[in-house]
Order: sequence, then C-alpha cells, then structure tokens
Amino acid sequence: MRRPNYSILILTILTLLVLQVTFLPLIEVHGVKPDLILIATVFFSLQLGPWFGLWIGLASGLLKDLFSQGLVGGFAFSLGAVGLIVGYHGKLLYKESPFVQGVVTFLASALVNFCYYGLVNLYLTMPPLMASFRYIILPASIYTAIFALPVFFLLQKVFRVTTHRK
Amino acid sequence: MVRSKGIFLIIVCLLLPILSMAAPSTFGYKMKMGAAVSLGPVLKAGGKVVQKINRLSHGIKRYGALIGANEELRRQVAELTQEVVRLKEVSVENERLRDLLSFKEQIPYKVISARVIARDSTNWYSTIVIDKGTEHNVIKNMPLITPLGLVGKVTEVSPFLSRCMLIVDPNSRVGAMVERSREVGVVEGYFKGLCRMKYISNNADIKEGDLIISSGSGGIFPKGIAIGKVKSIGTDFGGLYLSASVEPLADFSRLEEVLCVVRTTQSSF
Repeated sequence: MRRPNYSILILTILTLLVLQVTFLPLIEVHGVKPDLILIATVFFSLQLGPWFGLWIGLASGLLKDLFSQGLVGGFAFSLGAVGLIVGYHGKLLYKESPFVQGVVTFLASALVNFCYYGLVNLYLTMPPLMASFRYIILPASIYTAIFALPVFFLLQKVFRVTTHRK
Repeated sequence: MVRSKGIFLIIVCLLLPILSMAAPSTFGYKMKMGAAVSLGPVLKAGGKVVQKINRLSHGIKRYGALIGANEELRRQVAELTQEVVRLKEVSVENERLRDLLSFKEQIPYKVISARVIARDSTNWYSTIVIDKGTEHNVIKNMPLITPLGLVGKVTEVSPFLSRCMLIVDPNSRVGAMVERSREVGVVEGYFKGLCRMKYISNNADIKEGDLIISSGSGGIFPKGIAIGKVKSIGTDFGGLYLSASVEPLADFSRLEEVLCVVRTTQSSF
C-alpha cells in the first residue's frame, strides 16, 4: 500500500472515533464494545510498517485517551507500542487473509489492554487482574477481532489496498 | 532519518504517561475538555442520530403487537371516557379540599435536564458526556438521575459540556441502604453493567429482590433515590462482611436523557 493521503487518514480516524463514542455503545454486550481505533491502528501497521504504525498508534491512542476517563497517555503508549510490534512482524504475515487479520487483531487487543491495565494500575486503583481479564480483556478482544473483518474490508476499499500476487 | 523519527516517537510514547502522572490533575482534565468541546457539535449530531435509531428499533419491535392491541384499546376508550368524567369531578373536589387544609405540594428537587451525546471510548470505564455545562449551572459532583433511578454524578465540567461517571463504573462509590431493613453499605460499579453492594453487616437482613436506595451519606447523592435490586448475595473479605450483586434500575445501554439534581443549599438538596 502506498502512503495514504494524510487528510483522508485523519478524517478516517476522527470518523472512527465519533462512531466509537456514539454508535458503538448501541451494540455493547455486557458492557463490552469493539475497539475501532485499535482496528485502524492494526490495519495501517500491517500495511505500512512499524514506524507508521507507531505514529498512528500514538496519535489515535492519544485521541482515545482524551475521550475517556482514564490516564492521558495510557492508550497513546499502548497503541503506539502495539503499532510498532504489529508493523514489525507484519512483513512475515499474509495480511490479506481474514483469518490472519482476525488473529492479529485479537492478539493486538489483548496486548493493548494488558499494557493499559499495567500502566494505569500504577496511578489509579484498577479492578483485580483475573476479573478484568475475564470480563473486559478477553471478551473485548474476541468482539474486536470479529468486528475487524468488515472494518478491514471497508478500509481496504477506502485506501485502495491491492493484493500482490507473486 | 525515518529511524531517528521513530526513536523520537518512542521516547514521546514513554514520556507522555509519565508526564501525565507527574503533572497536576487539572492538566489532563483541561486537555480532555478541550478535545470534547472541539468535537462537541459532531458528537451532538451523532447523539441525535443514535436517538432516532433507538426509537426506530423500538417502533419496529412494537409494530407487531400494536395491531392486535388497537382493537382492544378502542373498546377500552369507550369505558374510560365515562371514568374520566367521574375522575374530573373527584379532582375538582380534591383541589378544594387541598385549599381547605392549606396542603402544599412538595417537589422533591430542582433539576436540569440534559441529553447524552457521547460515551467513554474504552471498555474500562463507564462515563457519558452530556450537553450541559457551567453555562447551564451544572457543577462538579452534581448527581444524575432518571425517572427509573440513580445514574451517576458529574466529574468534569466545561462551559457547554460535562463528563459524568455512571454508577456502574468501577471507580464509582455510592452510600446506600436496603429500603426494607435500612441496612447500610456502599454500592460500587462492577462488570457486565452491574453494581456490587459491599461492607454489609454479616447479620444484616437482606434478601434477593430487595430494593437498594441511596443513603445520603457522603453528601453527594440525595437520600432515598432508587439504585437497583439485589440479584444475589455472597460473603466478602473472608466472611467478615456480606456483599450483594445489584442490578441497576436505570437502563444504561439506552440512556438518552438524564436529570442533574441541583443543590438548594451547601449541604442539602
């Protein structure tokens, strides 16, 4: 994928953020909803590599922090780190496969939430780790991974990602 | 060049949460309110669309039942018309008796209505953004209620928007008691949209189905506002206390409008 138009990129992230805070609560299941910002970060990391993934993760994570009650910088750090890791390993993956997209999103979501939990626990009192894993981290990761498939499809269309056959 | 940019970004990534922890609490709050105000009009528009979607889905669900109910209702209208005439007579007599006894109608609290325009972007917290702020006399720690019961309190305010923490948020704490037996405890947010009432005395009179109301302790929430019903009871802290799972009465997944309760004096409502 070539470097995208930055205006369209910023508009996409802002649109996903607005959808995240307005529409997605309608499809919450037991207080858990998918994470569109994470899905976008994973998509751009896979397509454009680690440094772009780091930049996107940092910026979109900071936006997410500003629209949340928690520590400012918590998701900026977590998403930035995950963007870097996913982008680095993305070269080895068949990123057009929906299965790969789902698994990578699941693992990325779990990593982001564990990272965020560990960081915020230094500053605020968080619920117990096992209960957080059972009621938030695991269901959020599964829900986000399932939701990633149509979102990846839409982002591929918007940014005209072509499949490369060797 | 790219690599050095990347290293710089990594350093920013690491420093940002550390600086945020070290900075005064007002720094993060001002940044968040600034971001919320910038996207305020978009969020309000999104909130309106969400309201319409909610109402459309309710309408579709109800349509099937409405046809059959229509006939039954026509029959009832005729009966009720006669009843209305009779009740009007009773109402006039009631009004006259009230004047005779100098009976004064009591309105419990003064409230400010607000619309929910956005929710928390993460799964870790349960907060909402409402479309009223300091310009509308909304202040920090103002309780939020709906006709069904207690919803939460205002935590951050700006001139036109406010962020509020719901009672199902893990950081929320509400002084509460069992309405029937007056046993006291503390209701805190838990997972799956539920609350937990803790620090209940071991020999307390509490059972499933009991209504939990606010106790008024702490001075933030008025006394007597319904919170929820007891779903199950267990022990806590190695058997020292009882704890109860409480299902809130307010429907947080369909929250569209809330009422902010105004204090009339420094210490009461």
